[in-house]
Amino acid sequence: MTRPRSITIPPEIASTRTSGSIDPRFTDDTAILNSSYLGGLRDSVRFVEVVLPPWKGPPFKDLADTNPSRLLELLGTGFLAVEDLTFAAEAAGRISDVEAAVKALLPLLEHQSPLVREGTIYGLSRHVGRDWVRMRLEFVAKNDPSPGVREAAKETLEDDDSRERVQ
Amino acid sequence: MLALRVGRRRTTWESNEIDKIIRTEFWGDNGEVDLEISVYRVEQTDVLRTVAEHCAGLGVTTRGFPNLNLEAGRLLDETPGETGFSFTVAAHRDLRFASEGELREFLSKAIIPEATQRTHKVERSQMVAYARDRAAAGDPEWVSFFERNPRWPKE
Repeated sequence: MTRPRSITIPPEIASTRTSGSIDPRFTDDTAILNSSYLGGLRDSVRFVEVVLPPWKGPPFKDLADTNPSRLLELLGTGFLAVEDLTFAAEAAGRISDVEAAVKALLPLLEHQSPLVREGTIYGLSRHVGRDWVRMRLEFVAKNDPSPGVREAAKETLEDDDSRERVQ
Repeated sequence: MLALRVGRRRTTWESNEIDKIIRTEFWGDNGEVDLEISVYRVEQTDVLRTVAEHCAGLGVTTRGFPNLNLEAGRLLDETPGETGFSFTVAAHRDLRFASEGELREFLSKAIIPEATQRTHKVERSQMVAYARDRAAAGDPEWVSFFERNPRWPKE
């Protein structure tokens, strides 16, 4: 059996609650959904849901202005529940380091949750003047499986049509 | 009359998952469920005005979100709105719940099964056109708003 790797849980997230039958040797601290964790399950158990608790830290908009590196870190760690990640992604559009913000946001356009993809579009809406961002949003507007996500992308592109484009 | 709740995300109601709906649309800034739901008591003909004033006055994201009519016979407490626009200040109400369980039951039984019929969507372009028309017509509230926020709806 592969042992779970050490993971530091952000202090703003108090604990991780799990549902389903899991090996009791795994504690809350290690109860993060990853391949090592799944390897420790009994053969008869095939489904585990990890429910990430609500974000208790400062508002994401404030983080974007005062601690942008922290916000960017949160976007990439997988520690935020999708209901928080959608608003974190939107707020990340405010980060003054545009290159870093766009780099962190673009992968989230492929997140499995439409809620996250929608928030990501709002985060990217400030940067549609960049050709690569616009191209990605045009693809999403035509091809995303969620009607709401497609609408969000179309709205963002239409709203930005009058802006000057930059490379 | 509607008890109009201004939405926060388009995709919230695509799944009908009660947990996701509560965490996205009925969640407070304090990281807890909001048991005092802010709504507007308005006629259907005033939906566009209501949503435009809400988004502009509160400085929230102005997007074409689905707005839900939460009218289901519950008492609404008159509480002044904070938009700065007299119409929505007066039309504001609180829809109160004693517990998350009560809110959950309300949404599950009264709202989610009729979510499609209860949805009143307003596009961002409609809100912007409405606001600019009001300002052009000399509406003092909108004229004043644009003097303070010339770039709206851009932040």
